[in-house]
Amino acid sequence: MRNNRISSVTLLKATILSLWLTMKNLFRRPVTVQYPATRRPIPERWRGGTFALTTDKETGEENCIGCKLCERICPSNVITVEMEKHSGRGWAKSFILDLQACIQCELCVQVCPTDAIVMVYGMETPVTRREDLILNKEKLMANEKLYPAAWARGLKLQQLHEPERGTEEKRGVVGK
Amino acid sequence: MSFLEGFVQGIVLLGSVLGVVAYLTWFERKFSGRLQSRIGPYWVGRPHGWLQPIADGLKLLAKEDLTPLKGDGLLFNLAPVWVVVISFLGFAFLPFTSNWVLVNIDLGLLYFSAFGSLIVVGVFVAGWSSNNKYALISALRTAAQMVAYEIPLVLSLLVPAVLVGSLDFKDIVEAQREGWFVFFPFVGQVSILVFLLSALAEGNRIPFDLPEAESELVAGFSVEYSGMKFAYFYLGEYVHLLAVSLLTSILFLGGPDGPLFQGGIWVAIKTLAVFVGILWIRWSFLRLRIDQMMLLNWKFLTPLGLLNLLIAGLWASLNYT
Repeated sequence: MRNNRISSVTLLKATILSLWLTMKNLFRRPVTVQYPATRRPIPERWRGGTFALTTDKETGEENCIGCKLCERICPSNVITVEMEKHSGRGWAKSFILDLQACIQCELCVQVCPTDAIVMVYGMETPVTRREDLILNKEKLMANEKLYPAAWARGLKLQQLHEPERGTEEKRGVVGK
Repeated sequence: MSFLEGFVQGIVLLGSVLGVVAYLTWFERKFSGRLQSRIGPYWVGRPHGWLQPIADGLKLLAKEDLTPLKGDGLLFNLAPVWVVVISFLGFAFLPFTSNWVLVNIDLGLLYFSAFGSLIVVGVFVAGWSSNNKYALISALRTAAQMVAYEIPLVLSLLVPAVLVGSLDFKDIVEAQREGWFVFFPFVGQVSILVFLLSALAEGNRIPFDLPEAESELVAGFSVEYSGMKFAYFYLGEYVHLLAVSLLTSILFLGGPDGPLFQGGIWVAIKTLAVFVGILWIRWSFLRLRIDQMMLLNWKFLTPLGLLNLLIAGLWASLNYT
């Protein structure tokens, strides 16, 4: 006790400092955002909405080829995909995404080779029943029409990860 | 003053104190919000939350009223009533303006401090009759804290009385027309410091809110209370707080005396200023440990109060003889 005593000068300084800090807050505008009335802007690369399965813009065909990459990479194992093959490509026979345990890590979007699964740009996607959090293929397809897609897409992210093409001089790693 | 007249005045006083206390809770929440960069009450009575105290009262009235089966039912129900009644009784002796006081007696200060020290009985009984370990620990702490801090509190209250030579609030207010006691060299400043610190401890306010230290004792002595009975404790605490602010403004800050004009408005302004100071302290400091709190009392406040009283007594004896 006696050894680690604080000097009275330090104590006095701390006292005045804490009073000063609270007083500074008093003359500042509150930082509260009254949520339903005013909304904070969502960042451009927002990651935190629900999911959607996309379709091809021109043909209207669904993009998912049932490759199960998202199922493999999902850290919390919330995706279950069944694959079927006909008309020369793979299809997702069923696609179940259980949002109850989803950690919004976006890894499934990152690995998707056909831009099939995307997250949506928005945060107000609540449901009132727990069953509604288990998204099947129909719900995921419907989400594409309901919400705008987020910035991230599988191919875009994979291109960002790729090393830059070109010589080593160009990339600046020569003579390290 | 006839009986009827006194009765009516008492009812008016009770009602106005209740109203003021209700809006003090609103003010505290609003002010605390601003100290923490929040807004505070907003939705009930937009845009300033004017109706929040009424909504709180209605909510507490609608809550279930529980009495623990294994506890002492009679004492459990009596304790909150005791706390509220005792807190209100002190107001009868306070002069709100220079010529109006409900019970006009010579020993107002003595009565006031006597009623103030009786609150601890209610709080202790509440903790004891709840039959709950947290409530009991809190009750023991409360007893230790409130009885201990009673000493510096009364020592600092006595200083104005000694300087004036009277225990009558009116005389004390009258004597401050020449100079408020807070400006009295050394004695005044020390006694207002000791008074405010021990009054905070008496009222279980941060940084001395050990009786209801949430992180250790859940809610302290009021842990088993719900609904209106809980509200009574809350009410008692706020009435006590209001009384402390009022007493500070009357004893040390000159009461109704002030520049430009005189009267009850100055009492209100000074009371609010003291209340704001208490709130400011509340959100700036941490809760003390129980040993630190006891140390502050017995090793610092009590000797200081005694010394202060001695100096005041010497001054008074030199000037009055």
